Amino acid sequence: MVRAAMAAPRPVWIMACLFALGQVVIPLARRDGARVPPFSGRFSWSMFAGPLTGRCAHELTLTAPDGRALPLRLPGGPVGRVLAARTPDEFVVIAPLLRSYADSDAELADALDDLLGRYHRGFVREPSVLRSALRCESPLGPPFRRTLRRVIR
Amino acid sequence: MSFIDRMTADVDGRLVCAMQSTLSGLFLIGVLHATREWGDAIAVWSFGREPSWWARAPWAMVAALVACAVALLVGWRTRVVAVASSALLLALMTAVPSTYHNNYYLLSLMLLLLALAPHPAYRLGWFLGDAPARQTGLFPRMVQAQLAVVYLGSVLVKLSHPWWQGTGTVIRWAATVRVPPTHTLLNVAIGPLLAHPTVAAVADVVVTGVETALPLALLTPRWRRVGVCVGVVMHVFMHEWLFPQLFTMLMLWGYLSFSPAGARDLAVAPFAGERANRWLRAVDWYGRFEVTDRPDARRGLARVRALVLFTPLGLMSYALFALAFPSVTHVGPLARTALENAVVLAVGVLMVPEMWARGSRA
Repeated sequence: MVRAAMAAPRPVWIMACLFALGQVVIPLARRDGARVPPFSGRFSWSMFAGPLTGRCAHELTLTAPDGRALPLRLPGGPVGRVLAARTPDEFVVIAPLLRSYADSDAELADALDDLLGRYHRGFVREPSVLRSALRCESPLGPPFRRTLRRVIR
Repeated sequence: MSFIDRMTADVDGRLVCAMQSTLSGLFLIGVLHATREWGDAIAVWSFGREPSWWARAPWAMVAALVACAVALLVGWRTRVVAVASSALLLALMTAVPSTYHNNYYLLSLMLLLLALAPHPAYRLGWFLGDAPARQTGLFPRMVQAQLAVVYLGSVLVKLSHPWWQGTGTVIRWAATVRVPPTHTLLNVAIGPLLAHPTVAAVADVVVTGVETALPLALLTPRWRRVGVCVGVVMHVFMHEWLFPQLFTMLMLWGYLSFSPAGARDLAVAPFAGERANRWLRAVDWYGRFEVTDRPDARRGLARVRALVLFTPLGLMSYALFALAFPSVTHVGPLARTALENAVVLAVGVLMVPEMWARGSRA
């Protein structure tokens, strides 16, 4: 068999290599030392192979530099829905828009922070302080809390 | 015969062409279906992102994917377009991580396999002309290997993840949390049962066992027919319960690679008019029908079953039924998922005998 394989036309070997590469490219791309190997990052042919995430309560406030509360204007569409999600039931629905197949609530928090940065920089613009408090109690996962304070002077 | 010889041995050209047509059709349906959920993900990703051309790049990729699907369907530069499609899917998932889903990863892999050995004579409407010449069977056989890899990968996950490992946690969670909001009739019937810890644990072990056995059965000629029947029923059941979208369709498409194309082994009675008979030959993509007046030839409902069930056209109809117009969630007072459950369960009763009769040996 080995001799036959050695004598096989080159395209067959190229195909075999491509096939093998295709099987590992996404798992390798999504590899992370902090996750449990080998099928982490919710890369899986089996649905629901990762932890459940996104059961979070989110509080978002905007204040002027002197501490006065400012009205929180939200854009329309999915961005507005993401930023408006407050309760765990609301947040879990929008969580896939931040990071589908997130391995942890911390990953979701990173994606939310990134969006909040773009929102504050590009949509609010006026001198202000944006505060975000995220509390997650996803099933079977450790509780997660983080607060964020962004300032535009 | 060596392994390489077996992998590359010729098969009926209709098998390769039918698989090309069906994969291209599923690709188009899948991308159009995904644009709704991708739309929201892309809107969140591109909000406030500079420069503006970069913010628009994901939509350009989606447009290019639609164009690629059409190009594959008509058979234009198949190898190049298949590789480009696969690369575009991976690029989109890399650029906008919230578009990632294993459905599209599987699609990108299947497209790469198509690039390896498409039929050189493939064109749109190939089934209206003479049967295409025999062709290397590398493409359908690699697809079969991919099916086996998917099942074995899934088993590894189930053995390594604490939510599986025979605990039934995932199944109970699906039955009580994940599925109820989708209003499936199937979950009304089986949800309370699967919510029971013991039943869920048994189901967990059974699913893991079936997924272990399926690759072995499919790759063993003696057990292939059983493997095809069990696998197809499992995927249809999973789809009607969990709605994993394109994943089901791609796996069912993989099962079509086991069809003995060109066998002329299904005796079908002719229709009264010649035009209807021409139509009958045109939809017989695999060349399985022997149109004959013999007493044992299929007539009536049996003939309809042969035309529709477990054929490329039947699969594309199912994909359209399940995935087209995703914004339509209700038909009158009925939830779309419930309606789909009812229709598919009714058709499913006819499906198993048809699959068994069709057999497989590719």
